[in-house]
Amino acid sequence: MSSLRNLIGRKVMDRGRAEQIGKVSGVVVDTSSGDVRIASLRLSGAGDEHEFADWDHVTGSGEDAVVVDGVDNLHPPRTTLEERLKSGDTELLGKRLLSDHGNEMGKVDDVDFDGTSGRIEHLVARNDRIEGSRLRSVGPYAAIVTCPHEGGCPG
Amino acid sequence: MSLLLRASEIMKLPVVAIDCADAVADVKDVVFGAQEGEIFGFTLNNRGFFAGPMKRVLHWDDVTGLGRDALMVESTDVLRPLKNDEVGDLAAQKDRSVIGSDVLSDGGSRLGSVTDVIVMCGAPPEVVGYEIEASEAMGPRSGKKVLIPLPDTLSVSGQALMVPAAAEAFVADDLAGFGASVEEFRSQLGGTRP
Repeated sequence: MSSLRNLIGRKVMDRGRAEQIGKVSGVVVDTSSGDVRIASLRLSGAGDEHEFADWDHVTGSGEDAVVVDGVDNLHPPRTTLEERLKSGDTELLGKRLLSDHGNEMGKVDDVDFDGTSGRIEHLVARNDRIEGSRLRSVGPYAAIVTCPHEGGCPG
Repeated sequence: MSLLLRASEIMKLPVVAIDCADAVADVKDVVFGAQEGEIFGFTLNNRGFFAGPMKRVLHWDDVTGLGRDALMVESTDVLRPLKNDEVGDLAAQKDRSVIGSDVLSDGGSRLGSVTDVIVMCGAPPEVVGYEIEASEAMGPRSGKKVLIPLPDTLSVSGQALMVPAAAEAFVADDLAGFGASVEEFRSQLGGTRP
């Protein structure tokens, strides 16, 4: 299990040239299916044309570096989610966590994800760990999760 | 137990669209439909730089969740133009508000007048009772604000809201004990709201 908080700022290496390309500055999370996962990484220091790396091109994500399979596979924002991350709308860490019943559950302190598949395992807020599959959307106001309490949120 | 809120507490809550996870409006006012004695919908305010009345309304049926922090909708598509809309028309008719209406028991006592509406949060939310200013018919509670549960069916007119005399036995003084009162009252009546 990997921590998103630890991932941010980690150096990104090009596997073919064994050179650092940049650092991880954010992640794009795709919530369009029940299988919530990291779709791409946003890089700082790699230039506008090499700002994003699809998770499919990440060959490894370890404690010391994220390795991608070639700088040629990096690209400028090309999806709505990537554009929204660039504007700060879909940043997860520190975002208000809101249940779809309209109750705040703190802020997103960290996100546990699978370092191989990029699957979001848990959102960590206060002392709660909320299953990643409950994440419905991330936007400017909040990260919205399906209410984890059967029969409604407690008062 | 689900969270209970006064309708007046719903005012100022943000309206959050789930699809874009953004706050797209603030609740300006709660619009009651006197014929049914329930909430029909909400008028809205714009947020931020363009703050002020929004020319759109939200229907109660389009609310997917209501909590202490936000009123949830699936998307901004459900915000309807104010003009020629049922909720917009009702909002313009202030005299149709349930607030101030007399509450009569079917035993013939005037129990008080409505000061607020009690909503049980959830998805979807539900109107479960009224806050009323108790009349002299309610003895020691006279003059105080108390909570009276709503039956599954309710007779209303422009003049009064009619509740079963049995409701009087389930009056609560605060929201803390009111959820249980509603459940017990409805259980005794042998029905639940759809």
